[in-house]
Amino acid sequence: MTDAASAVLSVVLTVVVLGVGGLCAAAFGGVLAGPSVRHGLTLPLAETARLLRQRRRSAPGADLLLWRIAGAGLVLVPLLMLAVVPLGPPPVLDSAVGVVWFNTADVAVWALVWLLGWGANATFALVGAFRFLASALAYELPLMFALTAPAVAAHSLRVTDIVAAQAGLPYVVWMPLAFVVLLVGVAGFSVWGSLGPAAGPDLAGGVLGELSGPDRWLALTGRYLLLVAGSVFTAALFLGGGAGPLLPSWCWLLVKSAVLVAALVVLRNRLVLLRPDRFMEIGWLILLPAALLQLLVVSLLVTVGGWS
Amino acid sequence: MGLSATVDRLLGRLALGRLHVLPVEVPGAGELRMRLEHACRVRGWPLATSPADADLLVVCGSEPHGDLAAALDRVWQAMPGPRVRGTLSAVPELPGVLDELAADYLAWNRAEDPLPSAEPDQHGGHDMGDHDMGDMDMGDHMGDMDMGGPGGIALASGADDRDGLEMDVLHLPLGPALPDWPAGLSLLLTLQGDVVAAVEVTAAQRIPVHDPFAYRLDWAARLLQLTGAGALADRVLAARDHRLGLTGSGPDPVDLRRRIARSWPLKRALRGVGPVDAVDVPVEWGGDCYDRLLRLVDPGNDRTAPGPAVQDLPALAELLPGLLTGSELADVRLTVASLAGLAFIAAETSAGSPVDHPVGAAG
Repeated sequence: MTDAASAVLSVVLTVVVLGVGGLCAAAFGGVLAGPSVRHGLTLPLAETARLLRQRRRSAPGADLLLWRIAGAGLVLVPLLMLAVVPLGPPPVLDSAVGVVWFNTADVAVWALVWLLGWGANATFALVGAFRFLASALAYELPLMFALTAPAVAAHSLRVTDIVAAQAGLPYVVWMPLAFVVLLVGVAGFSVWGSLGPAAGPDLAGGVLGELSGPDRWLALTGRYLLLVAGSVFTAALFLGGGAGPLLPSWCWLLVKSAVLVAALVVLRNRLVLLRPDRFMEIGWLILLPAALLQLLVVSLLVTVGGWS
Repeated sequence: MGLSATVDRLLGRLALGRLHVLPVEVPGAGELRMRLEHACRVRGWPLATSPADADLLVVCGSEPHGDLAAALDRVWQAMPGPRVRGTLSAVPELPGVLDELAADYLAWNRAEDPLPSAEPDQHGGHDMGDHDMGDMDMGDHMGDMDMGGPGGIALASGADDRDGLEMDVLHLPLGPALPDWPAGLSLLLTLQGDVVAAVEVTAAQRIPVHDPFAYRLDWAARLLQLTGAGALADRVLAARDHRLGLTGSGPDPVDLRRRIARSWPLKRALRGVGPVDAVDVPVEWGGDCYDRLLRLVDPGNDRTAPGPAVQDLPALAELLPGLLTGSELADVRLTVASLAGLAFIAAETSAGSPVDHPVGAAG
């Protein structure tokens, strides 16, 4: 297959995986929440129809340009995140610093979610935006260190190398803390579940509270897509990507990502909303030391023990 | 947005499975609202979190007047459309009202229902800054106007906060149409950041109810919802619906209380929030939010014992400012939700007091 055709295939595959993944995540969430399975499965379709039919409105003085850029950005960033992950064929962007690319993308979410809250020109939305920034301060550093652990073990920041290095043993077996910290980070930048006080019910929807119509659709879809992109990346980095017997590699990657997405969707309402002040304690006193400890152990094992 | 009529109708039909409902309770019509919520849940219609999220605005109870009517108008203005407004005044109307509203939603015509213009309206010198979240939200409004801000609304001015830093002052009304908020209560908060600098109680009304335990379960569920424990909240709602006779079976209240008491994240989230000294107030209101939550779901409280007499109402209005000033917005919501089931309702003292319901009925 020529390079151009391969690149096109990778792009299409990335878009399809994201789209289908988001759809399934939303449908699964609906099945868990709704009165019947059939109702839950049609949730994405019904909500999309409802939101497309809705008018757009905003508060006077809202910064429409930045507000709408934020919504659109939330759909684009997951595409960028997934561009470095091999989904079967080589990734769209086989960057030598793929892990750093992913990290940059998730830091970009800081700006996007904050703009969603600030651009709306409403008090609840603004409070939500600042809650998100406070939560982000708590999960971001641990996330960065958790991303470093597989890179140290594989001696490379390229995601394809990290996936290849797990041919023998997936990294989750000897880096479980980093795996958990990364998943917490994925929930964090997706404004999901316990780490979603920025969009909490006590703020009447928070950063999402003023959105309507297609703007709302973009923001809500963006959250699901971030969740899926983060889960696929975690599966590539810790669960061995496409490695596995019998099934082709793309199939295994999808199965592993689906398990992670399902776990995050199930946990959405089961715990409590971690308000930023409380999450700050957890992030800096528990997650960060755990990530650093994990990194220390991995580094020792790699340099002294010769593991990889 | 030039959607042709057929596409619009098709989208409408697809959306009928999930219309977002914003129920607004006229004080005294709590049970109506609970039945409406149950009916919506059975259909799979979620409750709206904000007016921008809402398709149907349903007023439960008799015709609202005064502040509530004004609040409803602002909420209506904030709804983007397709939007339908309906009233539910008696239980037998219930299934019919929802079907009617769904049909109106489908038949909604954009041209017949224009959005209000974005011009801020002037009310006697005060710029009410037409923020479309109605009584849920008011961006900036201060006495001395500097009309140079965006949309013609004044920029927020700053003042020293509790740490001596200058921070913007925002005024936020928490009003009658807010979801998970007591119907008879209206507060005007002065916020700096998300810390409350001052609280003004603009309305506080005690509501006589027929079955306090159902209300307690309702408020326990809403408190759990605000805390983020959605799964537990759904169980408590199932218990509430069973209590109201809407379902044949429901969770055992004793088991429910045990499950809630065992939840360690819940304890960590609610411990130390909204502490009330039971000095001048009934013992029942004392403790922190966690204690009050346990009291709300305690089936041992299922008695027709009347709550504190109406003379306690001034004490409530005096208690809130002292309790809420200096806390964060999240704590305000949690504290008010925990007090609402205990302090804002009172058992009817008329002869029609509820018959002994079997405590801990396992359906």
